[in-house]
Amino acid sequence: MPGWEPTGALVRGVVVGLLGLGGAVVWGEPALLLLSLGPLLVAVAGVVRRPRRTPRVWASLGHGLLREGHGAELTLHVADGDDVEQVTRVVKPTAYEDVSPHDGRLSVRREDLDRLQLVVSPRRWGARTVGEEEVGCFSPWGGYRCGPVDVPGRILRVIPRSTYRSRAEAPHPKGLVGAHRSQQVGTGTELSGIRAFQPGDRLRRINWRVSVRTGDLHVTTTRAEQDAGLLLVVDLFGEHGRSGGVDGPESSLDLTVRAAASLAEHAVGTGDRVALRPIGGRARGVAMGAGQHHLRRLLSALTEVRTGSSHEEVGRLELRVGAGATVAMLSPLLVDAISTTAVDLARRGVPVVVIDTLPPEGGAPDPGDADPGLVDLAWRMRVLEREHVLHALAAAGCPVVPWRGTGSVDEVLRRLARRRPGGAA
Amino acid sequence: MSVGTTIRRRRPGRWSRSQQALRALVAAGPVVAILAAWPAGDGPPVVIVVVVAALALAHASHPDSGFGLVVFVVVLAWWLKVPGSTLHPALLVAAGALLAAHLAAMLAATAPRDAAIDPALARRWIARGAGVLAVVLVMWVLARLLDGRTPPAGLWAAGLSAVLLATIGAAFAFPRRPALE
Repeated sequence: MPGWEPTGALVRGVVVGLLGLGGAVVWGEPALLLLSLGPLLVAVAGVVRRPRRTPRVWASLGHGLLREGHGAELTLHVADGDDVEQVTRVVKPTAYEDVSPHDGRLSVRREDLDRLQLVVSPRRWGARTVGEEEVGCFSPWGGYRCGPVDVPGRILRVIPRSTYRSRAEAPHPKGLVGAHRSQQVGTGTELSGIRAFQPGDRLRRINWRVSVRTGDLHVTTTRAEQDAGLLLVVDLFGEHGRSGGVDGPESSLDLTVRAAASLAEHAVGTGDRVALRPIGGRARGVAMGAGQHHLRRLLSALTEVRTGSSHEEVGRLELRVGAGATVAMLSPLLVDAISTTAVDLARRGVPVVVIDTLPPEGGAPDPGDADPGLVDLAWRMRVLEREHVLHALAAAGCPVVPWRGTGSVDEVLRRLARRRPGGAA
Repeated sequence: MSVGTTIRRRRPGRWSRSQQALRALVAAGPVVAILAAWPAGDGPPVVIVVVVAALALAHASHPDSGFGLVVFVVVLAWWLKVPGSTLHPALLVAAGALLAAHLAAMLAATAPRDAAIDPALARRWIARGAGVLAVVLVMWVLARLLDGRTPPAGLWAAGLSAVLLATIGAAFAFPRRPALE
């Protein structure tokens, strides 16, 4: 921190006090002394308690990873602070960041720094620098000031909120173990049927009631329980609509990222494998995997996604989809490559769900310096084209569901689960 | 600690309530101090009151600036021409108003206008202000007792020394706290 310097109040108190004192002596008027005595005494106290050591300040953040809308304590540390009586903290305003109390702008006694902890709350997913602030220290009796000094912020990974809870089964599970009913008979708990006893059947599988009634041994068969794979394809070709943070309007990118995070969390929660395949922007993909560690990797990758305007990948959009995997394509469906790929996958018999992430209010672009009427016309034409794409997808048997949080794709997944592998209904 | 979604949105640039109160005190103090000269016997003309009010408003807007010094000097200068002002209780009102404006400006200058001043901090300064005002009261009583008499030689010097010593004692009355780290 820079060194201590006198405050304006100290200068005012000394000058007014000395003028009053001098005037009282010169003109023999004690009123001047009485009027100026207060500021003078405060200034004298400030000078007597003048600071000698320069404090050092730094801040620390309670968390390195946070979900959007949640908060972390921003603690200010003061070293060599014996001469510090008052501390003023002013957190710099940043987009998508809330601070409490008092919006992160307050002045407190130094001993109250622990009592009045600031809490920083990022309002949108992403990797963000939060808690950048200016700090000023004041000596006892307000005589001297140190600062303000810039205290750098901390980088915080903000993962998207999760709103999806589903009870639907994965369409074609093909893993080893899991929570989904397999098409195959196995050692699960769900009833598959009752059949005649065959050599090799376990004795505890014998259904005695049916065996007694029919006179032949019968066994109860169950379905195997297997895990499934979920491939999340996220469209990063562009962002449409305005983002207002976790409690405001959502852009197409917000919907895409939050939907992907929700689906991934749900899949991992049910023991399924999940992978991430970004298209069209700057992001890293995540290979198929399961477990909480894998989920953290995937959510971390989602916090880093950036949209791009390049359509280079459009012509060579190839998705390697493993057996038993369901493909969820999250897109506002304004780039043809997405719909084309979805139709191709559906025709190959891969269970595919297209999740429409165009905001319900439309997501018309900001005209900027361009003619608003022209931009609006172009946007309406683009939306009409999009309607044709939606109809074409439906005609090709590729379900499209708008993302609306809890249970958004349940019905589609159930319908896909009723189909036989290979694409036939 | 991780908290839920109870955090309010930022409202940048709005004056905090504490700053509003402090700056109102800064603006009102000098005006009250000069108007107190009225019951003491020599009320200021409207022009002077307007000038003081304008300077006080400027001081309230920029509490760490030189406006405060100027407006305080103007008030002192006016009280210089009030006859027999020492005896009048209105002088105490003026002294208290100036002290309040001085302390309020000091506190207001420690934070931006949209920053909040913690109530515990404000209470500390109210206590200090009350202590300083008590010293002024003692001096006023002393001045009244000696009014019209020839004070003993060295009485004022001794009194001022005693006040300064008391101030130094008060400055150390608030114990130094150990460092946080």
